[in-house]
Amino acid sequence: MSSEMIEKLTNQEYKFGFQTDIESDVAPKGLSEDIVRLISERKNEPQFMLDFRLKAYRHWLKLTEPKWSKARYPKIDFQNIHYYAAPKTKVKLDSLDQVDPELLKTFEKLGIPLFEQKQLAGVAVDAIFDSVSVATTYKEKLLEAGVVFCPMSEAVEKYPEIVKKYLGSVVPFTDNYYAALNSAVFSDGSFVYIPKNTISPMELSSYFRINTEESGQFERTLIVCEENSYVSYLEGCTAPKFDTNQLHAAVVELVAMDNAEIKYSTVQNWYAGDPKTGKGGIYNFVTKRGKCAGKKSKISWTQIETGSAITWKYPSCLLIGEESVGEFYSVALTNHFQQADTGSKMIHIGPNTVSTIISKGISVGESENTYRGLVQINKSAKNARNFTQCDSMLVGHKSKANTLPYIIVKNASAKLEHEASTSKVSDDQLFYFRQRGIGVEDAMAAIISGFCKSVFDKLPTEFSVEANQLLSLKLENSVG
Amino acid sequence: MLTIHNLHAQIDENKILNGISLTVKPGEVHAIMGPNGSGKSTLAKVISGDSHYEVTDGEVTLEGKNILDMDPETRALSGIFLAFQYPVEIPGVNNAEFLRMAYNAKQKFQGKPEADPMQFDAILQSKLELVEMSPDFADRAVNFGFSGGEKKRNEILQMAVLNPKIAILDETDSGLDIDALRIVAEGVNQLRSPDNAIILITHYQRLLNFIQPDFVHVLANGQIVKSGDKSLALELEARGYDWLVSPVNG
Amino acid sequence: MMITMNTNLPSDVISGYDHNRQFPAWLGKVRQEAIQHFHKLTLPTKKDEKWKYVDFPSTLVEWPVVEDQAVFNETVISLVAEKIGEIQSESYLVFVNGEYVPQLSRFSPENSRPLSLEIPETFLDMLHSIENEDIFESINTIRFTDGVLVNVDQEQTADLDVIWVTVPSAKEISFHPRNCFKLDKNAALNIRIHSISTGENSYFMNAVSLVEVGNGAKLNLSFFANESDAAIHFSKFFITCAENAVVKVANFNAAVGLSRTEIDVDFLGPNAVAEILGLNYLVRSQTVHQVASVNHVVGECHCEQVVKSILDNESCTDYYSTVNVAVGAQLTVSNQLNQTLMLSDNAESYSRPQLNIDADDVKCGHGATVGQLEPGELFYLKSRGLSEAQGQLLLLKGFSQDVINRVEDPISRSLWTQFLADRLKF
Repeated sequence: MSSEMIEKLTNQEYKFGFQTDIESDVAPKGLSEDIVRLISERKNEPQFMLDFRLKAYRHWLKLTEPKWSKARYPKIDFQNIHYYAAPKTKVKLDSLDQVDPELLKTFEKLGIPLFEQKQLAGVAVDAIFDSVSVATTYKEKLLEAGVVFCPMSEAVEKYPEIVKKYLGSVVPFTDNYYAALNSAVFSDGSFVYIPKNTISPMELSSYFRINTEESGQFERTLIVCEENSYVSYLEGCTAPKFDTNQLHAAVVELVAMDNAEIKYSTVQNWYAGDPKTGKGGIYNFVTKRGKCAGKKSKISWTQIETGSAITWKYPSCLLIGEESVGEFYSVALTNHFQQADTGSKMIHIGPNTVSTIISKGISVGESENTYRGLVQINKSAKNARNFTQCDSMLVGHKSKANTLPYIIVKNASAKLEHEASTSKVSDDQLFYFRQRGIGVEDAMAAIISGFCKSVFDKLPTEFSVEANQLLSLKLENSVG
Repeated sequence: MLTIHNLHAQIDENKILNGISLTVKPGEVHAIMGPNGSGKSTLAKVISGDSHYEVTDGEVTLEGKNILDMDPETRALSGIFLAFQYPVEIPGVNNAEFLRMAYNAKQKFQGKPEADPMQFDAILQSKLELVEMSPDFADRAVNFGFSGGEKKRNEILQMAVLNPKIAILDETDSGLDIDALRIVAEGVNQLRSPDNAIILITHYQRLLNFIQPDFVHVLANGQIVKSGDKSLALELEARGYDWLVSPVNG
Repeated sequence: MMITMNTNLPSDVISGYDHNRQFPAWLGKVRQEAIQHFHKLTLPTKKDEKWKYVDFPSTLVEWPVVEDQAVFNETVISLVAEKIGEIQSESYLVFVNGEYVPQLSRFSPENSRPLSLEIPETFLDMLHSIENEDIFESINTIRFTDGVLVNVDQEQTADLDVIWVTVPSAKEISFHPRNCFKLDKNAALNIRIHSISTGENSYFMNAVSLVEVGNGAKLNLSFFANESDAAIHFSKFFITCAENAVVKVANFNAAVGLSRTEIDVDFLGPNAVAEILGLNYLVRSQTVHQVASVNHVVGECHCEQVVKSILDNESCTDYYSTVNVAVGAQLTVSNQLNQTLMLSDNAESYSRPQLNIDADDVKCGHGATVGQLEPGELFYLKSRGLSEAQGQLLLLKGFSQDVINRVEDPISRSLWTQFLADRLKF
């Protein structure tokens, strides 16, 4: 394929780059114990939360920034970030009618109408704007089924015992630099609690939006599924175009008890920076981990990563419960100057645990796409099984693809298979489409989406179409 | 309908077509035969617009319009269909979706309404029967993991769906057992009409027992060295190609 | 982890060597530079991917080289004789405790010689080319006293065995062989390096080999370790391939305590082909690290890596391979395959087949499997009347045979086949 063609194909515009003009309550830049206290105070938190934050903050001070990813970026000035930004509200929101109309419009523009009558049937949404949750739909309906779906700040207030028990239980603040930072300053996020013997009656989803320039977003999500319960959860992310980089350092913790299943899907489309210069964009440094604590529990991560200047994350599973199952399905598309270093960690601890990793990386333009994954089978994990498949596709001769697996096996009854391939869209494939009257753009999109099919199939149906469109959009000449 | 005049083409400085002229009228079936390396497949690729080949002289027109300046998709939309000798595998891309994309591209080009998945499914089902393919064929990825025979039948299925003006079948008979050959040939015969034309590229005359050609041309060293009717194919079967291939042009 | 070195030791030792062996003056300079560099280096740590899982005594670099240790006794003579009988070689160089032993060697001086005799001009650039990237390379530069120099002239062929015999003593001692193999245009070389020892004590072998394979030249290099269970053996091969070169490197570990082999292949001209093979049959508390770095600097080259291990008891293997495809190195084909059979719950396997690809028109892939013998296959064999043990042995043979069949040099191939036949006996 000619470089001209590639140029044309990959020259797309970011659709969600607008900034909403909205009055915000913004904490002064910089991080200190006072700021941590201020965040906790603004959120009316109980003492245990403040203690948690302060411990994390003090630990963070002792740490140094990690450097081991493939990503290259200028040093982050942690004192030049607003750690708290929230749309100004005079009174506490009781219903959507009281939400700032500008905000509602913003989410409409993002394709996420917050009024329930306009909603996709069967999907409850938690909308998070900068640091706070602005609306959660279908709350009452979910509560009838016993399902708790609310902003983290509300959970701290209403369900302190659950929060206390599980917050930091999967990703302790000592885990890594960004987890410590998040634990100190996280502002909001989603909280999901599914009690025993409960199937969530609808898909849950959170939409994250960073709006304020030079602010960081540090949300915290906690999902707990008790025995015999099930939930499917999806997060979507967008941000305006700024020349400066914004830091997004979220922590997601999942806990699945006996026979529980959590399906966690992400469609990540943060602003990726200027396509021509690479300037601006989100640094997406996220820690996501699930604990399969119970027997026959299952955690499944599906991610469609298309945005961010830099993505650095490894949704992982700790497979502790006997016969527990961990899955990771990923599509990472990088274009222009984007860099992605992503993959998964599957730690097999319990016997008869099974994990699957399917990763599809597509590198376009001058981007760099790295799969990095660990599969570790401990001595205690008798008869553990893993299957890993990592496929890379390179589009254009300036793109880079890396596949960096780590495989550690300490048990003779384990069985593990790993395979990887690298390919490109062949001229023959393109010609075949064109001979059938299908233009290059459509052909490329179809071939790439075919390459990703096994992952798209894992998304909830409502979103697989969306993911496909997003992918075409990313490759298209202009947005339609 | 299709007129080829003095066509010269090369790949990487290697001259492959050295002045081919051929006129195909609606309703006709032309068979192009010739030894390996004579330029048969190149002719098919050049007509359909494969950019690996460079046209150095001559012209090709479809209904009076020069097609050599058109990109491959425009040629396809204008009515040129190539059944590939080696159909490429496209993992993950659903066969039915692919066909619907192609079908709708053509509908759009002709200013006709596009078919939604339901409507298209009805069209597809009838065509599947034509090539004796089971409906689950439509749900597999394009050519992916298909046997040689399945790939060739899939090409004929596409031809049936797209209803081209000129269909070029590039060695569609190669690698087929006798049953598959019959199915493919019957499919082609049913698609024959007074409005379209077929160019059969083949090495053997076996296929011509099933599809009766109006003309037979022998290609050697990038030129048509002999043209005739069906009996020429039989003569070739008996005598081989050597008597026609002039070593001078080699 | 910083280590404290007796900084006086190396230079003293060198002046001693160079004086006694009459090494040329320029070598002293190379060594002085290496010493200076050495002081800037630290021991590799877990953060260094190439050494991530390598666990070695921190005093290793200080293990002394002791001169005139070429023990020349009955045991050594019979061991060497046995080896030579086994390989049926015409031409061989024998080193005992790091020193060349002329009485035991037989070779053709026009293409090969021990480094301690004399260093011909042609090798100067090569000996200079070392970058002393890590502390072990640098200590090799500082301390090497002997090794093998091979230069196969244009269109010529050569066939050679190199036998390193160690007679371990209670003392912790080290050897630092330095080899240079140079193949001119269209030359061919079959070379087999054997490492054997007469006892079970500990010692440290730290070899560095520089290999230049010229246009259209063909190298078969195999490396066979069957030594003390307390031996620590590090060896590095730096191989450059010119246009149309063909390189086959095979590494077979049967017995060693801790082994680390690093093979670096740089493709500098198009249409070169390389194959890196490894087979580890480890049944005791042994650890083998196989590191490969394949650098496709130019396109149109092909590399296949196949490394297989059979692990029993407390043995461990670590395969770390990086394939680096440079910008513009189009039409590269490069594959990695690492398969491990675990026969014991106390065995451990680490595998990191990694790809770094900066060109779009390439075919690269890797596969890794870890597991046991297929119960279905075993059942099939048992249903044909084989015992469990017989069935297992047969499957293990089949698993290994796949690598052995790829070895081109007939002597290496029969050596490996024989070894496995002896071990995997009914």
